[in-house]
Amino acid sequence: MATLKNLTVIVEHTGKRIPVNQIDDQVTGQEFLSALADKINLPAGTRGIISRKMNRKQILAGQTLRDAGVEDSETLIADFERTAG
Amino acid sequence: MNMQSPFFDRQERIGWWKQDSLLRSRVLVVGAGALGNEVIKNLSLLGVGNLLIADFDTIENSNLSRAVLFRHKDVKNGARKADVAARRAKLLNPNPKAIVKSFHGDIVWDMGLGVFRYADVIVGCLDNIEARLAVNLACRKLGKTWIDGGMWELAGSVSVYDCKNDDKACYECGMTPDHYRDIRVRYSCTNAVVKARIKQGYEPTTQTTSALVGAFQSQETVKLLHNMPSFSGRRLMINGEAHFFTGDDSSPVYLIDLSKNPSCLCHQESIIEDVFSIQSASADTKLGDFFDLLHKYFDNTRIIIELNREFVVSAECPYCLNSIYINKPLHRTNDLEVVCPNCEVDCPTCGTKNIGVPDCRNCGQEDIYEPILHKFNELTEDSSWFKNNSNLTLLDIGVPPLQILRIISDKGQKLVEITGDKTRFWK
Repeated sequence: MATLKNLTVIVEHTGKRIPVNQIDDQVTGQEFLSALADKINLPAGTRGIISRKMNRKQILAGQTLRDAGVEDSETLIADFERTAG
Repeated sequence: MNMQSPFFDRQERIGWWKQDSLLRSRVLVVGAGALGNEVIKNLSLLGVGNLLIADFDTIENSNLSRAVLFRHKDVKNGARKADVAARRAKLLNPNPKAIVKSFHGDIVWDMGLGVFRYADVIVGCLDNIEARLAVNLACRKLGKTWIDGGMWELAGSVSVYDCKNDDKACYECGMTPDHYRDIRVRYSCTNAVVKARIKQGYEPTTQTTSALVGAFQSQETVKLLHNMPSFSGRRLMINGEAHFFTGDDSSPVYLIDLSKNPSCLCHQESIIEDVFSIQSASADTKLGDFFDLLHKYFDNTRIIIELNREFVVSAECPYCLNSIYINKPLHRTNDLEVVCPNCEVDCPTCGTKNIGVPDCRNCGQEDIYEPILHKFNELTEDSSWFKNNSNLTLLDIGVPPLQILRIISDKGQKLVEITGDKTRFWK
């Protein structure tokens, strides 16, 4: 278990940048999104998706940041699912 | 001298374009709402020769602003989306050999797996998780590729799932416990009968978003039909409102590389290799006749038909032990039908006494009444139920048209398709 430092989350639909000074690398994608829910402010009724900016790889809901390969000073992208047809 | 150029002239000027391949191809479009309209219109104009459109809904006034194939008179007539879309799409492709068929029904329960077997590509224009999951599973079982579209306000997404490829992510890989919870909302928690009163949620979208997403879905379909690489295992994200944040190149779109989930349930399904077709069997075949047909191929051994779904014979009240005769598939049984009309049940949340309702009348607590359902999910000739119901059809017991059933006998098992329904769906 380690701590990730100086992450930045870009919220795709607003352009907002959220600094995350430090976070446990065992946090899952779902937990990460939940922890930042107030700041990410997804459109009502939608669910978040998070991916790494460097390789555009999705971080799964149950995957830890460590397993996803996230490193210090990385930028993550928060977006939301589009479900209407 | 005829100065007119051929109908498909401009696209046939593309070097790799194969109009004949498109004419021969079979595309299943599931969902004929806003996205479906765009996709169906595009694929018809592109010259896809065999289109099958599936939807369970009828046309409403609010559909018209986003649906190029629907008209006001369709609303008045209460017309079915799939039927109208098919009729209007046929007018767009002048090739007399082009065929557009429709299927009005719930694709989760009412359309057999075999329907997917004959499709070259499946295009998902759906608005709910359960249907997406059903399409994904069908595609996995048959090793098909499907293209899922979605939208929200001015944002859209298109994902391509190559379900034959074990290394690529599928739709279910990205599902969370919240997604599964959403699916269960439609069903009773205790016995999985259908909730009779579920409010349908409507989501904010525009015609322009559906045009954008539908265009990407159609274009990827054409590429797949030409055996060209598509962005399989990835999701195209379209940010129509604020489109310059993530991309260093100020792109309004970006691709996410979808991650395969090592514990994905769908990936644990093996791909069907051999299917045994019985041309003379259809969903309208009576159960007794179907067993007779199976005996032709399996000899006179004991045969078990796996239904892959449940059939409810009766619901027993846990208080008075009276039984309510149901005799229909679980997915066609709703929670009001299985409630005892005589017994009083106390709500565990608010204490209100309720009679004849599955949920508390006062506080809305769900599933306060839990009947005992007598049901089965496989059928044999020696069951007492069969002896009294051999005149029912496969459809009556919930087997949809063109379904693929697992048949187990002393000689082993076979996957059997009731192929007699094929012409309802495909040429």
